[in-house]
Amino acid sequence: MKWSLKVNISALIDQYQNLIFSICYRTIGDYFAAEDLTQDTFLSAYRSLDTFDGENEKAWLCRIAVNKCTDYLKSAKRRQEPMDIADMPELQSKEGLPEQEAYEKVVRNTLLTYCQSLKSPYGEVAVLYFHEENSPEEIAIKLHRKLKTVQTQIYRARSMLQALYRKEEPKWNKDT
Amino acid sequence: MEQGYITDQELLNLIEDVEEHAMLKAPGYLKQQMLQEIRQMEQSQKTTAVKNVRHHIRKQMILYEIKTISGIAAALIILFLMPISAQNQQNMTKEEYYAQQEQSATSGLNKVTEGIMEHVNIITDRVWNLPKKQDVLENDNQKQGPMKEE
Repeated sequence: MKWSLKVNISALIDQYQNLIFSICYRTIGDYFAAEDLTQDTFLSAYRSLDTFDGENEKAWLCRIAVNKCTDYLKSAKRRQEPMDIADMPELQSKEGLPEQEAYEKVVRNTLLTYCQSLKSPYGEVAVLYFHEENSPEEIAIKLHRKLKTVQTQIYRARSMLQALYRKEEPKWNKDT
Repeated sequence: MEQGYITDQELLNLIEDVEEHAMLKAPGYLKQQMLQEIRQMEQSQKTTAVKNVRHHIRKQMILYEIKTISGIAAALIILFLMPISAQNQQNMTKEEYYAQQEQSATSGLNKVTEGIMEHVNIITDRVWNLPKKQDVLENDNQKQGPMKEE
């Protein structure tokens, strides 16, 4: 079981990355920090595969993720209550969307708003990469820029977006 | 969230809640980033392992070289400090043989030390411009009378 997990780390990521990312975002409310913590979770899991007993890998991965989120919040000296879905005003759905879809839409719209708020040339790169999930090569072709330039702009846009997420509190978390 | 890590039951509740109400799609580029990190991690582990093996082999080689050189040096020392005459060995008793070994070892050492001291005396005499030893002995002889020459 352990060997198969090691060999199939790719399959493990495919199966659980959405759940782990969702848990991280739900816990800390920061899109890019959630990305980093998701990555850290799977890397830690890969390193600890030898000590894993092979039972209930979902709970095991989620435990790693939650503990990392706790450590992140402690180091950032932030205390945030997990988002209560019922408190999110946008989810009192005007469009009649299911709660799950409405939630995802809110998160995606927030990301898009932040990306669009960046000044050129970072704004358009951020929208194409982080919101529309184009590859750097595709962005370079669309925007007629060099690949290296686009990669640098993605890196810088990410730093700016991280700062925006940390600076602004989530709209639904009015208590902190 | 409470301070400290959540309990197992709270974890299960959180998983259930997220799966029902708060599932998001992870960014598409995230998986590639993770696999790249894992590849880099494996590469650096391999490099470290190879370096450790090379270091170990090199250490073993150095120890082997030291042992070999020490053995050769010891053999040469024994060979030149303690010469054995094959003919004499046949006619000698055990006591005579060991006495001869001791004598040849000590006489060899004495010759070496006498040679070193003679050179040291020459150097110090030159440095301090001291009168030669023979001149001092001749003066002493004149004062004290004839002495037995060694």
